[in-house]
Amino acid sequence: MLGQCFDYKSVGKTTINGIKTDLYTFKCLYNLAYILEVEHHPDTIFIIKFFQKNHKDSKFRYSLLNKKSIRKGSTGAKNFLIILNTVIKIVIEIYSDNKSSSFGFMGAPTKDELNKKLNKSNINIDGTVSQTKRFNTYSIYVKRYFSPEKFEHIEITSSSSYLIKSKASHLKLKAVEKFFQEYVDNYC
Amino acid sequence: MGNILKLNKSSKTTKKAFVSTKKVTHKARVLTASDVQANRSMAYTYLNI
Repeated sequence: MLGQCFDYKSVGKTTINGIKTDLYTFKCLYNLAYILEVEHHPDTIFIIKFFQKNHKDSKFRYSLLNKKSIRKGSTGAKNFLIILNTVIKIVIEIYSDNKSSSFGFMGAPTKDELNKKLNKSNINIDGTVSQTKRFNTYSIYVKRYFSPEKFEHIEITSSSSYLIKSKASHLKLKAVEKFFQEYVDNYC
Repeated sequence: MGNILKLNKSSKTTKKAFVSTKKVTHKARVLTASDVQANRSMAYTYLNI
């Protein structure tokens, strides 16, 4: 059972880099608006991405963190958890329409994790970052809710990618690897 | 419902530390049911979906 979620609304569809994308918005505990993108890929793979609306014009929009002043002295953990619950609620809505849907994410590196001086050992020669904090957090979070009886959990730790693959999907592991390889090459 | 958002549609966003043409083979691993169980708290129940 999911915990508290924010009220969200669908705000339409768009095409980003040739990928059909559904857009949703919601507001967090600090009254900041977030944008959630659900990308539609072949083989009913949906890639989930979200960022703060006021970061929408930044190329770092998936990487930025809230400043302490925004968090008003708190850790921000509760807010973050409710954000993830909201994301999962949208995922459930999509899955309910098509039980062969699979959901993927890449844990975007923080600015510190992108810094070669601070994180050289985890930065790969293709620019991807392995085992980012977001990847570690999201991958623990999804294990709470997605039963291995209904979903295969597929990790690509070296690129901080994860796929929750419906067992009704016929995707093979090699196809998943190829999908994420192309995703890294073309869209990151 | 119209699209009220004007998003930055640039092809590259920063999920990589730098843009490179070099290739890395990223290996995927299917977690076993016990891998999934071992990394989750029993305080949560799986979604009934």
